[in-house]
Amino acid sequence: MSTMYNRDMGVGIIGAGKFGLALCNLLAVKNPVKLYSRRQEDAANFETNQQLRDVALHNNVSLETDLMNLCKTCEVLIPAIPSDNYPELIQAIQNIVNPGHFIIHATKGFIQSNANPDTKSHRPLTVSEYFEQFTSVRRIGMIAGPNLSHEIHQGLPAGAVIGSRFNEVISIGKELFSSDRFQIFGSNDLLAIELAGILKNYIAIGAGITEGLDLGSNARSLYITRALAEIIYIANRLGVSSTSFLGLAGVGDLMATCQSPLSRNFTVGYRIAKGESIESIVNDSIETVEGLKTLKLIHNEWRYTSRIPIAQILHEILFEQKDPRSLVNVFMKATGENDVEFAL
Amino acid sequence: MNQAHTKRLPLKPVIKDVNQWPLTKTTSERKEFKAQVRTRTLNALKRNFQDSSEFYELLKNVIYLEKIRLTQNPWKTDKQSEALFWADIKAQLLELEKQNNHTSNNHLEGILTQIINHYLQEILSRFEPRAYRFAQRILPYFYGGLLKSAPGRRIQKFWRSKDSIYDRFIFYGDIDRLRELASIGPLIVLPNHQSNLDSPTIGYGIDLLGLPAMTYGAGINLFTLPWLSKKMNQLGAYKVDRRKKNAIYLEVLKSYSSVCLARGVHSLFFPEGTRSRSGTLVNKMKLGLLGTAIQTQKDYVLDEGKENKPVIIVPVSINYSFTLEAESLIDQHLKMQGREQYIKEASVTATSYRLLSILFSHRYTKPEIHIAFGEPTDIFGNKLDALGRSLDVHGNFINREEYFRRGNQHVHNDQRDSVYAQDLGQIVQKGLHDNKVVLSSNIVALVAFRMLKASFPKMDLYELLRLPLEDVFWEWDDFLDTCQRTIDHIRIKANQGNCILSTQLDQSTTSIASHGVKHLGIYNSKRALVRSSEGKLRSESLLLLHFYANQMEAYVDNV
Repeated sequence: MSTMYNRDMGVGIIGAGKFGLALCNLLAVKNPVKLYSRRQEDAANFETNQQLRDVALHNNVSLETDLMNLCKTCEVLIPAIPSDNYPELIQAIQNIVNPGHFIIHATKGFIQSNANPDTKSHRPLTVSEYFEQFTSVRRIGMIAGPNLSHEIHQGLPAGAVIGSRFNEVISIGKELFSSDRFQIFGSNDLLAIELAGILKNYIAIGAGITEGLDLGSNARSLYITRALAEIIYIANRLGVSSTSFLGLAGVGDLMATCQSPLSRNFTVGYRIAKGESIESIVNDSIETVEGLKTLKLIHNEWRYTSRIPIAQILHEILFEQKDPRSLVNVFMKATGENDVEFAL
Repeated sequence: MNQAHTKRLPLKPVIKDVNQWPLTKTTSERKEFKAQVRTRTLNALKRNFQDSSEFYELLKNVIYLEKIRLTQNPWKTDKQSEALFWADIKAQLLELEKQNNHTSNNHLEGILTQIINHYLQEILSRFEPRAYRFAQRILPYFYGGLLKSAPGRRIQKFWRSKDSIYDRFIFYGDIDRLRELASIGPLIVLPNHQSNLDSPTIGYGIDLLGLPAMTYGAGINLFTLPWLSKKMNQLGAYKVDRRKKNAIYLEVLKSYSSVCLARGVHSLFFPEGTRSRSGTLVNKMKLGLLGTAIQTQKDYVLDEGKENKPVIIVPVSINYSFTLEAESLIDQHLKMQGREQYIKEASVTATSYRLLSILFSHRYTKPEIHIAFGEPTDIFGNKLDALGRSLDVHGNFINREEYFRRGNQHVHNDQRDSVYAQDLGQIVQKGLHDNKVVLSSNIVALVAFRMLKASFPKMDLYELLRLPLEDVFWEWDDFLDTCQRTIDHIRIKANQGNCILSTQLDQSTTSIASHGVKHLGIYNSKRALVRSSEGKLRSESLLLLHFYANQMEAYVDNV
């Protein structure tokens, strides 16, 4: 039998990116938090001024450089890393995490997995599916919603939804995160929450383009509404009901990311519209832009259907050098007889 | 890849002394057993109905529901005394009310205990080793007749050895591991359900493998013949009445099954709940009884000294080339699905000539029963090693108590356990799907029906089924070609672990096809497929062909 760990309700955050640090400060209001960073230089920085990447961290935060130790001492693990890094993470912790762990991840991206041909569908996996497949952890959830890290660092009020099939995970999430400046809701439809978070990313790129082209608020709203129908269509095809898309993870997150220059995905679209090349933008950005990867995967999976015009045109604009202005055609020339054509 | 089990049947019993079987002990320790079920039910009900007014409502509700059942939906199996019993309970409750004692927990509990005892008396199985040994002697003759083979080894000399029934029961899966695990924790054997023949078949199959007898739930409607019902009861069957949906009855049933498992009694459930009407696997598993598996595992974890004991899940796929009641099953299915679009086929009258010709046409057949045991897992779908320890996908040991833990303690959480039960349902369903043994008859039915559909692409299912039979035929050579392609496709599926190839598929395509046609749906009053004198393949019943083709639908991609 595996070793018994002596752990209380220890909480560990994996990943010291912008969003990881934001979550860290939210949690630290009420609990001691361990933060894992794989960057060696972080330890020294943290040691000297309790700061990482210009973000001052709460006194309750301690830095952990040993991932194994983090997993042994923390019952709740909160990975906030780019989706590309999951295979590596799982590889590192697969022998140490067990069904007693709770996982609440914060990653809005698909993981492409060729490792296991036995998957039900060949579509890329969400983080929770990836965990279920390669570890024995079962109680998994996701935190999603309109949470721009910059605003959270400023201490502005916000809210999020925790999706999990287990009420236990939702209540743990509520206990840990909720405070007078952070409100938590729950949902049992984990897959819907994950998909809402993932799919909105490529939509935000297009919103950035509308801003960059100075099309105005009317056009952007038109775009966002049509885009919502498109991602709901995709979600339905993946066997998920539409309802969760009206919540924080869906509409809520769309409103934030499609309006705010603080959003990475939005910024990519904006700069494309201003004439920059995708290579130079990617080279510039410090943090991963999940939307680009999602777009490629979605386009790859669904390119033969006519029901995802926005994904198709964005793919052409970003990767096939098409004029960003062609985005307008998609929602202006759409033959839409019905305003709302998806069923709830 | 899954290979057929080759050891000579029957295998030696895992536990030789029948009196040592956990199931036998439930009969010899019946008093204690009943007390355990009673306490468990009471405790569960007390958890769900906390104050006495809720209890009172529950009792009133149950009495009402039972009265409705007795008057509006009476069955032959209902005992005369039942009406009296419920009248008495009602009188007691009224009396309490009169004395204003109906909020007293003690009084209410007294009445509740009577109801529990009443149900328990009805449900209880009384396993008798004598009856079991009797069945052991009778069943070979039954299956000998059905599979047209000699009923055992002893008479083998007089027959060619190929014709013993032991050669007609073909097992797949890791039988040795299963036998090892049988003495470590209770097995929950979960077979697919196609036919009424399944219960005796799996029961006899388990006996051939030397596993101890299992307890199983059987619909109370099957207990109409007094002699048969007594025998079933003595073979470990407990009665389940699907009309009774009240909270007390369901709780007694769950506790019954939990206590059996807790005492290490191996159990058999049909997770699909009912026979598949269409021939396909029912895609929603019954979660209630799977839930008791989760409960039992949790109890083991909390119970000192038993924490390492696993509850072992074993999906089983039973496969025949024939389903005796296929006609009525598919008829029921299409009536439900098609409504007015479905027109029943004319049934043939069973003249003695007809019966003789059916028997005569089967004189060269050698029907077989293929039973595949899926890999035994714990209730979370983890593999088990020979000592019953759970292993994760990377081969690390998993401490099962972790599943029930939060912080440094185990916590009760019904919602969590219900999610585990849902997942278990999925695991079982996948197990049943992946362990389907593909027989030659499956291939021919699938190919014939698909070819038929392809040649009338514009017709919907009901139009197809109404085609005049003289217009429907298959050229033998075309048929063989398609069989070849389908077999190749199924081989790929089998290599990916999505099904098992039966020993019948080791032959050339021509032999597989002939074997399949010869064995498909024998014993049905019409033949689903038959070689006509001019060499073409014809069908006597497209309904039956549809039914048998359905059994394979899930294994071919839709192209």
